Amino acid sequence: MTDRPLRVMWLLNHTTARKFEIPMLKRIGVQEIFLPKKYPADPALRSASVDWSEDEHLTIPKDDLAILNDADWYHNPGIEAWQIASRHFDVAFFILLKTDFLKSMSRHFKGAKIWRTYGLPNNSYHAILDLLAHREAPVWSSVASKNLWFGQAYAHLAAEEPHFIAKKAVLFPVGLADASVRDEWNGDDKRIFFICPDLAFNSYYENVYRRFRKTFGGLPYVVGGAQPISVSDSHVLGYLPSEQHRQNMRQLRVMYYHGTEPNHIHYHPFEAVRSGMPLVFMAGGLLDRLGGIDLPGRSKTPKEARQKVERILSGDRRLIDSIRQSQQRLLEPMKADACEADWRAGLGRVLGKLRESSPNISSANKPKKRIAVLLPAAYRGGSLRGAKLLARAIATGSRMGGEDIEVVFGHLDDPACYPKEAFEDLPASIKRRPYRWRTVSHDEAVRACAYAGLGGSLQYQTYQAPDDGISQFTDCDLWIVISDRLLSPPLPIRPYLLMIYDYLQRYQTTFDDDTNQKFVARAHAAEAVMVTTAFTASDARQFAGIPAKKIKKVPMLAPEFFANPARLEGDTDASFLWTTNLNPHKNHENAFKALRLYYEKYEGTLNCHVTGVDTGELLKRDARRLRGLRDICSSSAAMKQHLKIEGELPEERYQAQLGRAAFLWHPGRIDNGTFSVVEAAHLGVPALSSDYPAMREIDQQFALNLTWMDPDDPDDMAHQLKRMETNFERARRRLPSAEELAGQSVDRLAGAYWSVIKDYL
Amino acid sequence: MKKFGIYLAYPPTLDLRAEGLGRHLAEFLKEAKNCPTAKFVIACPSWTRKSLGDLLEGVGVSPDAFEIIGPKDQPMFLKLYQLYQDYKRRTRDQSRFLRLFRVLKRRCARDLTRAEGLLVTTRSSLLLAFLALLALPFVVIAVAAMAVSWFSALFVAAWPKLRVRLIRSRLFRQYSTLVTRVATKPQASSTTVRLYRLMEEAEASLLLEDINSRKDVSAWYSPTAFWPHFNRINAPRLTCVPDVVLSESPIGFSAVGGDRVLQTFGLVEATIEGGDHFVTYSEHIKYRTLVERYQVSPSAIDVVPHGANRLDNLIAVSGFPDNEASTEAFCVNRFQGALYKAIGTQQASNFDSGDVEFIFYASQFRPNKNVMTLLRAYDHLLKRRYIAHKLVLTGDPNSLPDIARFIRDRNLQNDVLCLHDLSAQELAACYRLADLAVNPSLSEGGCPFTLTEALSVGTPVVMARIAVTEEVVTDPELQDIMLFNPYDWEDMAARIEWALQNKEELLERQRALYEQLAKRSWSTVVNEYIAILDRLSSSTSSNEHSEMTDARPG
Repeated sequence: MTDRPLRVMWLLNHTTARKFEIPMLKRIGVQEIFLPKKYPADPALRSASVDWSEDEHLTIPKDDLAILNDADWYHNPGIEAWQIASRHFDVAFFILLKTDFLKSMSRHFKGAKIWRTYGLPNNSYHAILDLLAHREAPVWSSVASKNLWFGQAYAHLAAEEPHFIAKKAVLFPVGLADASVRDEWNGDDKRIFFICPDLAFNSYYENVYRRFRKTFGGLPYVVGGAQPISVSDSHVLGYLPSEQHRQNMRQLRVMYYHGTEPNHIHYHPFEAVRSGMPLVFMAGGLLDRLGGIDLPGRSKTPKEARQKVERILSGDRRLIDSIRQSQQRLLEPMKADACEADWRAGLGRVLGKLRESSPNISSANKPKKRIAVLLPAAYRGGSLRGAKLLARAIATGSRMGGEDIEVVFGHLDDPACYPKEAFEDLPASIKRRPYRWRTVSHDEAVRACAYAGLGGSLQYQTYQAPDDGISQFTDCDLWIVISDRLLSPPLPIRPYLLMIYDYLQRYQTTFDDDTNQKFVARAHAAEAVMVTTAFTASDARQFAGIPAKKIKKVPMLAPEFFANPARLEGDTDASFLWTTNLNPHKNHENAFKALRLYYEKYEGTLNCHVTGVDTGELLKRDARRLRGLRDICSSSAAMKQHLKIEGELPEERYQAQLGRAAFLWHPGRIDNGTFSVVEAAHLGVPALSSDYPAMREIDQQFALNLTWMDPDDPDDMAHQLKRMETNFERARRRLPSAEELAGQSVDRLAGAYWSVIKDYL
Repeated sequence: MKKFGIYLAYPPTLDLRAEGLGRHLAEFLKEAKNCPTAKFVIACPSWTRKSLGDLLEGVGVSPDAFEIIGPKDQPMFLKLYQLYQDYKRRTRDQSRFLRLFRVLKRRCARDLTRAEGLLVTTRSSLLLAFLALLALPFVVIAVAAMAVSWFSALFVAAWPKLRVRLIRSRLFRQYSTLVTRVATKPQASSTTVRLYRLMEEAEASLLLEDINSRKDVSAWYSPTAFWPHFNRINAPRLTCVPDVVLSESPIGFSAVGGDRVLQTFGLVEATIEGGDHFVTYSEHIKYRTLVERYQVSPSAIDVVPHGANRLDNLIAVSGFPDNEASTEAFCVNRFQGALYKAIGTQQASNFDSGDVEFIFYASQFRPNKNVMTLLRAYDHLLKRRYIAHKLVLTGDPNSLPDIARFIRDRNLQNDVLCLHDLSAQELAACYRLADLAVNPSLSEGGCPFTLTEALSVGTPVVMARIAVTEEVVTDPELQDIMLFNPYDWEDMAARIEWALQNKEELLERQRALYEQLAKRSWSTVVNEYIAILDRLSSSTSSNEHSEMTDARPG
């Protein structure tokens, strides 16, 4: 806190609550208040509205105010809005509709956070927290609960909550802007006034109305309350302008209030009391606590309520007068005078604690932020390379962003899979840490979460934690896991992001659905999912159901290839290179059919050199899907003449071979794309590729000008091979320049990674 | 003002609100209530009265708006069955006894904790002895409980073997199957169907007695052709024949529902063969089904096409600063609820973000609905054309095993969502959120509701090129862009792909058609029915009059 004026963000849009709470804040000394200008379009928020009137009292820069006004204060307003909020405001009142809001607020807002709770019908707030976080880990962490308060509107609400919430309770009593009695009722209209909104879609109100009709069947009545979706019921009035509503309050004979929930009440019974309309209500609800236990309008059973209503409708003056005179007592606790002391004490307590924990005191010896990049399985090849590039991008990006971040690289403790040499290209500043997955039982997980300061329920029976033999990576503030291949959920003591390269299981049956469900569940529980292509982003949203806001697209990071100095000018062999392996999606059968057509139908002349892991086995291995290749090959003399199986080549020989090829051939089916085409471009070699989304995106990002073919149509593949045979020189001239390729280096793209990741620290 | 009758003879336990025909009837009655030129009487079995009342209430019509005739008291056998069903469905409210038990348990636990505290902290041997004495009965009870649980454990261990022996016995197998069938799916048991037929016959006789005693009713209308008893009414009769779909897919339907469906088919044929005058929803059904197959005279058949089936009123939110956004949010909320009804997809609720794009086909799964061709087209679009949309259907995949198998074999269980048993609002929400509605059906009684349902909420639609659709979509250019060959999955896939890529253009072209179709309200439809009933009753009375005239002695 500084010497600037005390400022509060009241991040709600409830009209009636605002009319009381903003003046109350002013009454206890807060003169500058920010009100949100956007709220969800949810029809359930029928009492919401926007109020701009407080903006003129705010003495913060106009540009900052514009950003605050534009932010979504119900989901995730973004780091910039939170930074502005932290700079100018001390306290924020909020309601919780999404866990993402609480998480982002916890990370980025430095002031006090007051969760405004008005009581729920038949539910507690910790149940709501569990419900909102049902796919995630508990959100009430030690970090989140710092300066977080349970701002209860009624003193008894916290009694329903577990200790971790109850201990944070502060009373800010609910009240009415004007709790005076107008006494303008005449009751000339001999009908019951029953308020029951949202009848066309809210099952709670539908049931309330059904019970009402059962209790009061045969008596005259009208139903007030907004009906955002029209209802065909002649009793239902729908939305009425306030003057007409007020006229109903004056003229209708009696109001019946159904509520028996001990923690929740509507405003309309108080409106009736203010106008002087007799109120018949059910016992057991919050009105009892507000002084209604011996009121004559109180009814213990529906039958009793009906009898009272019938007497009022028939003009029983004695009952009417006794109800009208006594019910005014219900307004007493709603008056500002009655609430002020609690508000003053509550805010005082909140500000006192905020002062104690101000950054000046706690920032001493603050440890460096640390991020773990975790390879969850014994990945080598592309995934290992991608993980190392990601680690580098984070380290570089954070440095460029002016942050001092430490990156730790975690891989399975398997020296055979991960020899020291495999990490020679990892910068020295990125520390490597081998680990094993440790299975954590539910009981252990509960204890671990308690020790880590997490409140809430854990839904799984088993969790897993990366055990490095040191501190299980809890010294890191964020875990970034490469891929979603986690059969058990990570122990939720640290937030995690997933880096997902593809959802190939959507297009090929790569594993059973139970396994898929587990992987998808991990993605739902992650803070965010990073993807490198729009196609994978689409699959994450469409196939896995990840909300679009949680999907973060970052640029593809290609390995650094060194350009051939003689690129674009060198001689070429009369051959092209097919880089593949034995995986089914490499589309061998169609490729062989295409080659045969190329040589036999289109009289192709270039040799085809096949290289890649295990390709020496291509015509030898006895797998069912490879057997047909031998038949194709043996039945074609041209194939035998032109097809050269090279097998897996050492890196240098591969590059030499590639550098001399007329073009690179990539006839695979859908996958997450191959950077071999980028490598080829570095060496001045064009490529003919199967047309599928990931390759299109590689083509676009690296401006490769690839030539395309349909991997499902061998004839088209053959035809395109023939065209490349004659056009590869032209294709070579359309390759990007060395400078253009350098524009896609890790150092150039690191900033994009950091701008995503910093939000989760 | 003339009085007409509506004849209903739906079977017991049927919730009219959940049936397509029920919703059609609701629209009809809503308009019939306000008709200035005619009044309607409804005749129905005793067991339909409640369902009818619910249906009317659901559309905001007071149950008193129509005179309802027919037996009032249900057969005792049915009452007992319904009591049993109610018992099974009862809400398990916490009884007072349970509540008391819980309170006592809590109090007991609290006292026990106190006693334990006293036990371990007391420094008085007298108090310790007193506490031990107090605890003695509890210790005895605990030992007894342990003994009981030990014996229970023994029984539980032996139970699997006992159970296997019991299940192997023929007698048990025979009767357990019967009991299960009768209790859970009575219509699947031949015994209950036979008993029901007896009950139905008796109920129909009582109903017909009431009907035939009503000389004030000029003509009767049956909204479907399942009830041959209707032909025993001694007054002009009009039978609606929506379709005879079994004859359109004979092999497909032969595997559905067994002889029960064959019996229903027999009832439909009997109703048609004994009927006088008919109404259909399309010229196609008039000529292809009634005239060609059943040799009904064309002059005895009127055609009354559907009114526009609008869904927008079910979901349109008003009174908010941005009503469109609020409507969208409301639909997302309903869709989230609908996802919990998914059959065959694990964790369908994962798709509740509101961001998932999908293609929608609302229909039960029946052989004529051509779902397999749609699935083939979708599989191609997803895996070869990389169209990322999901396909949302509303049938139960287990009702046609081929569908369930195809979805499983092609690994589509996370992309094809079968949301079964949707409420009207959920259905409307699905239509609204869908990028495209599809209807590949091979045969329908009238132009599929998909057309107006989708367009009423602003969603474009592509459909099978079938006769009933071409009766309504008559513009050749529009036909070319929105209709596909339902026997060719590639053509279907191509049309869907084009429509997804040209949504706005397609919708714009279809809007003009919709505006024209929307003019045909249910009020228009009801007036056409009334005109037919009026004509039938007038011609009969003039015939009677002329017969009487002719019979005069000369």
